[in-house]
Amino acid sequence: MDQTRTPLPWKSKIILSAIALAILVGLFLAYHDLTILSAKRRNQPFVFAGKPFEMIKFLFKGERVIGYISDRNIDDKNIGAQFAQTQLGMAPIILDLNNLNHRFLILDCQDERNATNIMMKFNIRPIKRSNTGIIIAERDMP
Amino acid sequence: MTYFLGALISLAQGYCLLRLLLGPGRPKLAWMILTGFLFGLALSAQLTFTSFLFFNRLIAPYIISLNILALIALAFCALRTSSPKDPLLPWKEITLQDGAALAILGLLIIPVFLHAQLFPYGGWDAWSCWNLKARMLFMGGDSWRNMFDPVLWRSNTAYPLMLPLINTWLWSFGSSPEPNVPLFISCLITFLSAGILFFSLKELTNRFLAILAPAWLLSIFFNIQLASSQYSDLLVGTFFLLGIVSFFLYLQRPDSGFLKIALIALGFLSFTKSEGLVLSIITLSGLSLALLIHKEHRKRLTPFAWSLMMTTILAFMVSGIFQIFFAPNSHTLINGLTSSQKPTSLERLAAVFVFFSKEIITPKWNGLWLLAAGGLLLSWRRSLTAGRWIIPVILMTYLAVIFGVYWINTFFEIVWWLSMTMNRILFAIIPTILFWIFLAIL
Repeated sequence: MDQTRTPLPWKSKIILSAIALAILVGLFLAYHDLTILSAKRRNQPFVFAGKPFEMIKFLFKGERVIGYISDRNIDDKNIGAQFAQTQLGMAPIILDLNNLNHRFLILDCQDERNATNIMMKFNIRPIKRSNTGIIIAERDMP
Repeated sequence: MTYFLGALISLAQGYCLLRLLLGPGRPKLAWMILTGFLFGLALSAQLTFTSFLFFNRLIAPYIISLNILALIALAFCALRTSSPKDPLLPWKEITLQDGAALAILGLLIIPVFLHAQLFPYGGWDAWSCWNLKARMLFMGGDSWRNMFDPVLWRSNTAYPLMLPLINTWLWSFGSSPEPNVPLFISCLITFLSAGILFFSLKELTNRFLAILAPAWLLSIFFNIQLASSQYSDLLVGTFFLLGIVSFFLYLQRPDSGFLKIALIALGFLSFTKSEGLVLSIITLSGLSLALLIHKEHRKRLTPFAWSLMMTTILAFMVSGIFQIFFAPNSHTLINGLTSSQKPTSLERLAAVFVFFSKEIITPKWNGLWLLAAGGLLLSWRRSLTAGRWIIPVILMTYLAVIFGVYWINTFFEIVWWLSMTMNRILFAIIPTILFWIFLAIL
């Protein structure tokens, strides 16, 4: 649809000039921030915490929910992120945080003695242990 | 790579649908393709949902066949509307300016793509909510409804499923939930949003300077971060923009097809997030009000009342079915007005306003809100005439509802909740605000 164009009013020109300036500044700052972030990523590559769990979830075939037992503070940003990524890796199996009332359990404790104490107290059998201290265990359910 | 075959099917579906909805006064090809792509993805997502409705699981051959059948039907009907003078794909409509604009938009998307590569699994809500739901849909079999289990309360169990279904649709062409698909979708939707913003302003104002709108949007690093985070807020913002844009295209060239596009966009919006549902209802009410208060529009639309009503019902049908039959009650809701353990207070409401005031001046927005306010004030007359007054009415109503939810729902500690979510609420409305500003100044 053809439209005749009238000259832009002076107010519009001022606003557009300010926006153009904002764009230039923004692009410069974005380039700067992206460069810093890329350098950080090169030094510390992204690790998806759920990846190891994608490999082992076949062990829980048929289970809808398993327990995820941890003595870490889930409200801590890094711990919370790790848990969220672990859940994503384990999907469609649901991780029930700190609930022992499941046949299969993942124990992810900061202090492995806590994990050992829990297993002894609740008669839980370890099945596998990763080299990062994560234990997959089974519990006899009534 | 076969995943992207699904994207092409969606593109073709959406384009053919738009051809059927709009008469000869339709926008140029670039707008049709970009909007069609967005429509097609949403349509494919809703067709994917029928697999869960009818068979209680994902059946990939069924979903792919259904989408191909839909494409064939739409293409057949669209071809019948075309002629040598009005071909189905009028490539000659693409001008040098359009090519230049697409090239500029392509350049502007590069930072989004680069940022997405640094965070290939997206942001927090991508892990804990959107991509989790998508994996539940794709791999859950007949246990896909586990996503609504109260144990997953951190994953916003009541949220609708548009974005997870779009990802599931593309994953259906393969055998595993490849992280490249959500990454691609977030970059694509960002590109479509920027493109729809520019080409809509171009249609309405005939000024190439409209390119400054998407450039401004994508020059802000915080927007780049959120756009590449694989969140549904991007879809909220894009469908909201499309609903508003289509309304103004109708005002410019009264073709009821544009109103149907607006209604469909709002229907899709209602299936993105709970905030999207609220926004779609407010926008539908606002746009209806803006039309019905004028005798001229009432008279013009009376012959189309029945088809517009049917379009509204169809547009909101999937969202309605989800809300009635599937969505659980929210597990993160405490009514502070009636709770004795966690009552709300005026201090909580004051905290919301104070946080909002501070948020819009934080450096991460690169002065966007202040510059936007300045621009609207300088051109205040033009920002309120020709039906544009409805935009601030809709936005202020929406923000009032959101602030009300922050005030009444005392489940979360307020400062934490605001710091996690307010910026995304604002991110979603930026494209429409930019549209409003540029409509006023160009």
